[in-house]
Amino acid sequence: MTYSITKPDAGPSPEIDVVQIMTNFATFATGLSANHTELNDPNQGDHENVILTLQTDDPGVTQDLTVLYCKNAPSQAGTQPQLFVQIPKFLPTDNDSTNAPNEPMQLTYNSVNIAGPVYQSFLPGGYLIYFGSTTNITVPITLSPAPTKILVAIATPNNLKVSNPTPFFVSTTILSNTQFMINSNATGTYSFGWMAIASV
Amino acid sequence: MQPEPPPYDPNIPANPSDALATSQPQFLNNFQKLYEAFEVNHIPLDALSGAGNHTIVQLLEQENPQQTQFSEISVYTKDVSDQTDQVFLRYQGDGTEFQLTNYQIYSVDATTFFTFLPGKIIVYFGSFITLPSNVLKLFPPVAKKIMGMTFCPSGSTPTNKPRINLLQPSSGFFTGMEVFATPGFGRASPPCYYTILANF
Repeated sequence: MTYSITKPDAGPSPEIDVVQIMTNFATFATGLSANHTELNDPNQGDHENVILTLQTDDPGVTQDLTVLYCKNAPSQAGTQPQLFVQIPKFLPTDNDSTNAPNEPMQLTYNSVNIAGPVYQSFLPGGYLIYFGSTTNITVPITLSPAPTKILVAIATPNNLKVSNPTPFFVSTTILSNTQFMINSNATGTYSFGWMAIASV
Repeated sequence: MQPEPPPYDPNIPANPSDALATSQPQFLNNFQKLYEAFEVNHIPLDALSGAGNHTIVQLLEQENPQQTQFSEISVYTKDVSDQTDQVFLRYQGDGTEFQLTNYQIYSVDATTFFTFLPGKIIVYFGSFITLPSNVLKLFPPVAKKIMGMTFCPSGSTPTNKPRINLLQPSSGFFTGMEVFATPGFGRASPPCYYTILANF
């Protein structure tokens, strides 16, 4: 028996629909307990977690209702559900005259890497950030998980020249969607810190 | 014109001696109201599975920071000056409030990007080959305080160390910076990748 909005029937006694009435009350309590603190608890109705079911379309924003939701997003790792947010449109403003469309913003990605040596996390807007250090710049830096496109590759020397204590020259060259090279006049023992931002 | 249905009434049946014929419409109305209210943002009560899980989460603009007990965090939206609503998080015990979303991310152009970090920090990043008048402009132009800058020359020949001259703020906002090449480099500004962190 499931929740019914057509019961009870009119009649002289609740007996004929007592099971349906109980089912409705029980179903409501069970439904509310999903993601929420259950009825009769001092915190009843609070959220305990939020399971978001996959949406096929962006819900859009109406009035003052900001919306968080889950939608499939493509990346080099395939198409997977990600958390999105859409806020009420506020552009253009006096400071920013861009009349940008109110696009949803992807907030998450399906992996981070804090084990290294290629550390990785994600940024709002569908971006991945990678960072680390290297003591051998003859080997290109390979980003994993593979992004769609490297947008920025930055390297900085961690030490100075021994003979003439000025920073080494450094530049970077993006080789592909997963690799970039650090170029420098560094010799001897050295290390470079590096950081890259890429689109998912 | 159809009359408005009566609101949810937690005090039905009104009289313990009412026949079901009297209270049946009240039961139906309450069951209908519970069903409709629950269906907002949730899988409906009569779904075959997942009843109570969320479809999306719409957050209605709040006037003030939300109160939190110990063992609670709160996620809510609040109006932000010069914008609309943004998502905030407040830690347990009426603790620190953070702004989680900070701007409406949009595409500037093929080499100019921005995203944000929690706490009203905007991250500008991108690349340039040449700069008109040596000026790198910040989009969106909302930076009130430049917190950090990193410039790394791009290309296979590491013979440049860019020099940066921050432009004076206009109406309280930093609009950009001049980028100069090493003297003798043969051009006014060097091709670079960059990241700039700012508070806004």
